[in-house]
Amino acid sequence: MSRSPNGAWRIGVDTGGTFTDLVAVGPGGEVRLQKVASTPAEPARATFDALKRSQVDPRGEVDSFIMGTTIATNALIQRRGAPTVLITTAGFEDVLYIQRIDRQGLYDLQWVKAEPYVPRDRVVGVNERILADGSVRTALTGGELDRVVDEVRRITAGDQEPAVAVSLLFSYVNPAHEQELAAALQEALGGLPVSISSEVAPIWREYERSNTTAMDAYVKPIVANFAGDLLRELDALEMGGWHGLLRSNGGHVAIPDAPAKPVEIVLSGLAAGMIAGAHFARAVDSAKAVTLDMGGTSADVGVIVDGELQFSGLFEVEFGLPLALPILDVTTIGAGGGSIASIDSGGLLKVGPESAGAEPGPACYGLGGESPTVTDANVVMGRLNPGYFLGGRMNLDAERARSAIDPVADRLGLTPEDTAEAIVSVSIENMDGAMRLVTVDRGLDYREFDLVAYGGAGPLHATEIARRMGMNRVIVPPNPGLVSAYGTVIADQRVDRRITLVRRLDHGESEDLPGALSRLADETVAELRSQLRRPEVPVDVTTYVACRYLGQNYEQEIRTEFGHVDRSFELAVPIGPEAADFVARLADGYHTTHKAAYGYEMRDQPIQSVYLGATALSEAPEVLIRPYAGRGDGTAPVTRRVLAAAGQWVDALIANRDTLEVGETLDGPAVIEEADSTTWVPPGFRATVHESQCLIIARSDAEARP
Amino acid sequence: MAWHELNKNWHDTTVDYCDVCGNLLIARYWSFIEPDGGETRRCCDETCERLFGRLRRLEESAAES
Amino acid sequence: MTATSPPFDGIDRVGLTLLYKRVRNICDEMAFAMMRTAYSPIFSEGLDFSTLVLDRRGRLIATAGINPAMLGASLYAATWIIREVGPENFADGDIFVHNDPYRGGSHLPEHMMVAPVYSDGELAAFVGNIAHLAEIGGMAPGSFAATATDIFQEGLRIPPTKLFDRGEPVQDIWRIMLANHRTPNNSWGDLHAMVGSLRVGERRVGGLIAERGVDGLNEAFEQILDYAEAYMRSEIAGLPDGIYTGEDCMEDDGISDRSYWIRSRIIVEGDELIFDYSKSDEQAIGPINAPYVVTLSASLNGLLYVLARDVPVNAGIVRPVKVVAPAGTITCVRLPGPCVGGQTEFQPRIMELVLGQILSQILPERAAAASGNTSLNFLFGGVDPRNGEYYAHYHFEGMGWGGRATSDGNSAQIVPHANCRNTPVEIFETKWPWVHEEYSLNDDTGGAGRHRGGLGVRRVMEVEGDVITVSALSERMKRSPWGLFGGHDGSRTALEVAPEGSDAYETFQDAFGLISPSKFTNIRLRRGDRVRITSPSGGGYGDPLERDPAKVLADVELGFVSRVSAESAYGVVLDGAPDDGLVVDEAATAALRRSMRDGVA
Repeated sequence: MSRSPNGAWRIGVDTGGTFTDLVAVGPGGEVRLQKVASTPAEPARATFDALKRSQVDPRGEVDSFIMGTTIATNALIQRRGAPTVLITTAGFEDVLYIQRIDRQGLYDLQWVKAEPYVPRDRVVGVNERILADGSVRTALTGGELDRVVDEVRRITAGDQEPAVAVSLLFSYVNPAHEQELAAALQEALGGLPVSISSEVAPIWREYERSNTTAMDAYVKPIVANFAGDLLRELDALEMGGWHGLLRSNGGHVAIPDAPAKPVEIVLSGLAAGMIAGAHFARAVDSAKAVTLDMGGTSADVGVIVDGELQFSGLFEVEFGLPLALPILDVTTIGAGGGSIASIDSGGLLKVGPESAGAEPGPACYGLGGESPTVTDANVVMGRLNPGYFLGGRMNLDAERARSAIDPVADRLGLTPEDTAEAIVSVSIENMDGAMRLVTVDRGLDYREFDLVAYGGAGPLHATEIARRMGMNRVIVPPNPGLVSAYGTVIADQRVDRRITLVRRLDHGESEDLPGALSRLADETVAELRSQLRRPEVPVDVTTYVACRYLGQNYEQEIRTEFGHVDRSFELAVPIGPEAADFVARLADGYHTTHKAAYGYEMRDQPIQSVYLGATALSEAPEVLIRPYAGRGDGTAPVTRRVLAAAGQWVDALIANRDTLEVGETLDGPAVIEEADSTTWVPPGFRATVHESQCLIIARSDAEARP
Repeated sequence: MAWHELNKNWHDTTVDYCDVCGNLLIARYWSFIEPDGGETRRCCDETCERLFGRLRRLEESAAES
Repeated sequence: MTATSPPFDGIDRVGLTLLYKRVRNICDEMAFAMMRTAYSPIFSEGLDFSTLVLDRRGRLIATAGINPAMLGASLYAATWIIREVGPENFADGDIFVHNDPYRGGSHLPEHMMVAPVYSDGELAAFVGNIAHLAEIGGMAPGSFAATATDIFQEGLRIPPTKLFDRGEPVQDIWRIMLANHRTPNNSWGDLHAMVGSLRVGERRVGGLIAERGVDGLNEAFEQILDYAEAYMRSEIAGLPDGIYTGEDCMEDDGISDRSYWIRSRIIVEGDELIFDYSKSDEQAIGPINAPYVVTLSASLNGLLYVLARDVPVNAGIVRPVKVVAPAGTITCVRLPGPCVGGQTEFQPRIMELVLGQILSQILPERAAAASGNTSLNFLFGGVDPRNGEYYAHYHFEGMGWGGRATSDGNSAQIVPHANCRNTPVEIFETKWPWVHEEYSLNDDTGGAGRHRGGLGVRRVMEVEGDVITVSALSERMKRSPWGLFGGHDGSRTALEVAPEGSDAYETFQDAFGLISPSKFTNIRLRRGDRVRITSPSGGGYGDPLERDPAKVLADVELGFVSRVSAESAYGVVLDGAPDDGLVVDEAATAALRRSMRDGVA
């Protein structure tokens, strides 16, 4: 059984569009799993519903409570954020409209530029100017502060929960004016959330910085409300321990601190699944894996190389709307169990991207949904057991599924069964195409990759997808529907800090660099320590200095290939009093790194530092999950009629995953059922139970791999 | 109606153009004589010779109409 | 390369798709290396470069989708270098450089580098790149001399020349080049960025060779070319046969006031297509001429806007297309004619001519009105008082695009034949001694139409150095971007100057007594002088009286259109005060629109 440190509960929650999942690992390794319907209108409600059902005593020993949430992501994508005001240097109010003047495709005459998050009539120009060297050319006067405050008051009058973003020219060199504005706004309009660019993203390039800051402000009230709801409930429950939200970098942030910089949790919900996907890829020794997290509304596709998550330096919500922060590289596609099938204007079958979501859900849920979905098709094909959905907690109505499909079948002139098969085929084709794009666009040959499939709907479709794409093995982790929640339990504790320090390494001005780096490392470790309840836990710290040849416009800290981060080029330097020749070695390291990356170095050119960074990491203790009984229950094997392919109905072996033992194999056609997911093993494939509890599915004729 | 070498001196940095399409002639060129005993033309290859004839026929039919 | 692709019997189509994508990714990686390491913001911010992978015969297999303006040069320049030098005269570790516009280059500032890739002594492929160097000498800082009358005034011309010999720099060549550039240290950094990009490419192509072998790789390359050709042919076959004609002009050549006409004839026949420019004016005295590859670029770019968006761009796409641009016309400059402006000003003009010709005559539902259609090149150089060093820069602007069948034109976008980014104000001022007062959209200028033209931008900046020498090469000062199907014209370019302490702006032409308002060189500005650059806006699409009044109201609320124009151009009458919320006066609007229609009739 699994173990939890100090015998306390570690609770992880993942809130998706359709379901909210909870995993709790308790004293003695006890595991509690819960899946409840999400409550999009009040996101926190489902979380506490799941907690209550799990019967973990919140007043007992709780080590940590960590959530992955899509609340900020959805606000950005669906444009349901706060009415935001942007304050810029006067004369530069159009920064969000001008953007970078390039376009997405080279040859698309109909392309429409991304609409900014702050409309033009809510931008306020302020009379002030700081120059490139940080000197003040136009001072920010008290009268101007008053005028700007009045202007903001006028614009936000009548707004529901507005927010303000401040991004002034050269604030990354000298943040004084931004800070004065923030203070004046706080004083006059206390409670109005303000994001300032010198704190959110202190980088040069005014568009990227301004847009990131605008996004931060845009999601602030929503995240603040959400965090407030969570904290109130947690207080009421008197729950102890560390309460955190998962961040886009794979670490987590204390819930009370999340609203201060909400832009850092934009990929919170996706990070959870990726962390767990990487965990299980490592568990089965998969060097190259694609993760497919397919739920009710969408599927997230990521890539794991050598067990490591991949990072992207620049994430774009859509083309032209960059988020200038390091972020996990994951792609979302609109395909899920709830994807709706319809006939398009040309008379062809179409599946998605519209989804029936959690409410009303697929027709077979019997919650009022009438549109035929992928889940309905799987019921009609016999692949989903109507009596064992959510482990029997929810009965699916096979008749409703069939009658929802009937109208589509009529239009196509097919039987409902053939139509169901066509719906599933089109849905697989959609995912196939999207997954090819994700891998191939990064120059990766998907035929060398395993497919780690989870989410409620992933294991049902994964083997068909892998077969079409010619991928290697399919890996189905234990409790596939709860994998993302599991990711929140095993996420590392992590603090990243960065400061700007522009120094020429060939000048005396770089004297203070080693000391500054050393202090930064100490502060980063101290911040992490303050979050830890157990002082004996080891903390790793790495530091880096981003440098460039004087004249270059990008600094080198990490090298990126097709948007992925390869950390082997990160320059980590030993720090401390013994590092007397630190600056000289740093310069040498830069030349060498530059040569390794680009094939040349320029020893005669001066080098300049741009920023210093430190990452403190405390690895989460390993959790071994043993959720299955792992022994047969002595009953005779059961079979069910299942539509396999091309209209062929076959007798498929039906197995309860709880009864499978490590090393046991099952030959397709087979359906492996468990409470939160169903795995379909087509004819010609064989499933093997790996010691990590993962199912490994490969062609029956393929050489069995350990 | 034959290929010819350009045979430039190494210190000659001038260039030559195709008489039909305007593209650059490198190392060698195709030559042909205009129909009805016209001038000798230097061009990229046989396709340019055919193109020459085609454009001329277009001119003639435009002049007629 | 999926369902719509032509059949390829007996070929591993998945393998081919993957190989092509991987070659594309190598190009992307080469581009990324260049962006990260370059000194000039033209590279690092503007992305004014291209990266190429070529087969062992020097034919283009793939290019990073960055700057389509370099398409023609990408297709031909490396091929010409390799042929002129002779493949047998390359050695492992060599790099050749070249910027000769008479030999496949687009204009002098764009330098091409080519390096062979060997496998055990056997020539396997080439990698290459093209990049715009900010300063290469010539009569004006920034090397964009709008008043040049021959190529020798435009900068240092380099025929195919060995820059690295078996991995070692050919020092004499480097010294000649750097001695002729005004900012040699910047060139040193940028040329190295190009070299680094090639080294990255060599390494990655080496990986492909290790997998497939030299012959195997080149056979697959051949299939990729055949595939692109087949794709292009099937797309051209989808256009109706016929002969389509059109004409447009360059306003002036910087030397005299006369305009130069481009006359274009497009012949579509089956799956082949001819662009014939032989009736165009003779080459100009000033630098608005196009080398052959620029005319070819423009023609293909126009065509690619019309065809499917995912045509793989390589040497295969030229096979069914012929461009006739006789030497000595403005469409194919003869030595020693100047041509630095052909790439940035002539190419977009001819591209929109092609586009307009094909689309508005054949596919009006995919057409668009004219964009601002100038790169608005503004050049400057001088000594930076902050460090005493000489600097020079080549600057361009975004502009409004035309309204189109489906929506309003985008504002502040780069000229359609390129896809460069702007230089952020923060990088601009860190590098050069100017202080910006404004960088904004130019309100109330988009050509009125059912779909409005996008807005141009306005940039106002003040000289911070003692003296800055400026030059410009632009268009659209005498003729406006055209509207389409009843849409109004867009607004024009403006280049203005105000002396220190004064707000009285006048045009450079008036202030300095110039022949051309848009093309001039070596104007000396002093500390405190201010420059105002206004880029053109796009033309409108369709009758403005048919524009939804609610959209006109939204434009007024956001400040894109003035209340006055709402009435005079769109016939929309608004009621109320701006701060309390405006509404459309439906009755007055209907009446005004009726009277405007009658007035027209």
